[in-house]
Amino acid sequence: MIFTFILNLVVTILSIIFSGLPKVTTLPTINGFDIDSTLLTGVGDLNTVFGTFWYLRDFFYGALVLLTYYGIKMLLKAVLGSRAPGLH
Amino acid sequence: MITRKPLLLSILPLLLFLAVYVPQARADTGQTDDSSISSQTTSGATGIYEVGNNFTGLMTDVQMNMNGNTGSIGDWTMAVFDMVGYTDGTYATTTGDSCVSNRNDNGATINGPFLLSGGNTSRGDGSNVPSVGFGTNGCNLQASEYYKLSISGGSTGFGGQMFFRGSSSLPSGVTSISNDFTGIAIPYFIIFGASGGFNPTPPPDTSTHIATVTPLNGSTNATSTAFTFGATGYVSPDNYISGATNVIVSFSNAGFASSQMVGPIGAELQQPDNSLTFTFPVTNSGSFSFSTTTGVQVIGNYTLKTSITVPQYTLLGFNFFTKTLAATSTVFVVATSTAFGTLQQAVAEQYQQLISTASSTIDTSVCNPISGNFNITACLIVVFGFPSQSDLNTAYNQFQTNVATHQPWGYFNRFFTILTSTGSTTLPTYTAYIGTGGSTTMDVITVDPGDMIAGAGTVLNGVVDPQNGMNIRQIMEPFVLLMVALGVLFTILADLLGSHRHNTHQQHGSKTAR
Repeated sequence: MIFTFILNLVVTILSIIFSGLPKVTTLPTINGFDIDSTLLTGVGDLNTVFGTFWYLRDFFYGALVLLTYYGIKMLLKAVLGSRAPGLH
Repeated sequence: MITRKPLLLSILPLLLFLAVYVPQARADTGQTDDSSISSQTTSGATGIYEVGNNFTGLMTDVQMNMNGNTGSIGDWTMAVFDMVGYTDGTYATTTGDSCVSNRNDNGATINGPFLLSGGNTSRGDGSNVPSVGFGTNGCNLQASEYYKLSISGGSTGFGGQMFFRGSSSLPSGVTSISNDFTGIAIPYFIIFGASGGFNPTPPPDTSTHIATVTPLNGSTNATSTAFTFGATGYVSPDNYISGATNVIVSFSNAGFASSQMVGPIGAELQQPDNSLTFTFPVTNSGSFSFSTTTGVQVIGNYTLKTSITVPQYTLLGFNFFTKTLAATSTVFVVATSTAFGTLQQAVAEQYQQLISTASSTIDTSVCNPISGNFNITACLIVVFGFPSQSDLNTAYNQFQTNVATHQPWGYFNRFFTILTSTGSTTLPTYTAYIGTGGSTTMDVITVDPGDMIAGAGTVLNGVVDPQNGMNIRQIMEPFVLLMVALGVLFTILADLLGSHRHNTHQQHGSKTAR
């Protein structure tokens, strides 16, 4: 009950703070470059290709996992430097 | 010593044969079977298609002439098929007799309403010219429809020359288009549009397939209490199993995690993995068209999976396992709420909050020493226990709606929403202009990646192993996933252990010692 209350309290406070700010429905257009449409089209194209060439999607997800690993590793090195455990 | 086999054991193979094959008796479709026509178009239809290419107006007269043919060519027929609904990949019905009323068959036998002419044609000197007229005498051709003229029969094929003629609609200066079909066995056919020329249309697909689904792939819809789900397609007689062929349509809310979706409240599809399935029994082979309605009150990004299934095995009248003959996976979006949908959502949301509040206070009596229900362990759990799943879901939905979608977090949220979306697009075509040597004109080459995708899809997803009913993806993807997973795992392990790196310090040290 206490944790639920704290959780609801935190969410309520955050909601009060941020609900007044504008809602983001699309990514902005910068210098005429519509980021939202470009991303939507690009991901849609990828989904079209991946829908047929399903193995590319599997490779893509594998690459994402590896990139995430290297991203976490870089973050740890940046924060902890040489004290980062197990990192060369 | 003579060993006797039991009688039952001796006839067991026969019983098994009967059990497996007898129940799979194919039902009569009651439809025109055009498979024999379409399957033979490759041998002689190329020239006929050219008629369609060059045809620019309404074809009012088609003639078939056996010039120079002086011998018997055997029985033959000439038939007209309506191709209404061809855009669905099927052509369903035949036209009435009015479309062939302008015939001139010189006394040949007419055997049916769709049979223009038939009989044993003994002479092909021009005096015996069967012809058919379109667009006249009450035959109402629709501009949006396609029609098919089919010529079939002939025991040895037509000798000499045969041509088709559009009496008033061929391009200027062209009076006839001739094709020499000597030695080519009929049948073949011509497809033409009622309003004139069109690109050659591929032969109708009489394989087992799903032609269309409802809602359309990529469509955007509003919430409704009567949302229509359905599918059209074709089940070939060879694939049809009476009483056991089904079209299964299921849909699920694939985009529940997306912040742009209003949280689904009190619906079957509250969670992404939940799905609602409709099963339509196919009662005949041939074309099918099913639809049903149900309420979809939840804004979201939906996945619609449609499949045609038959039993994998049939034994003694019982069906075992399920084999998928064809399957599609499409997406549609429910993006806007109708007024009723909004009201229903609001009421459902309030109701859920009420239930949530009530459930969180329902056990507090265990903490009351005079309630008679006091339990110190239960009280500690109630007071200090971790929030329940429903509480977490409520908090998460509230956080998504009121925090994550607003600036500045909304940009990240939108970015990941797009990345995780399942919607597909039509790949753009590419056009190249190439000038040939010395010519002032440019040749145009258009490349449509969609053709490549469709062809690859046929190989990767459409070819089914007849033994186990699985396509290449179903067979190979587990191995591909295993290979990718092992590759990722070993790469990370190698990086962590440093096993792939050379120890430069040690090499340097040994050089110094030497």
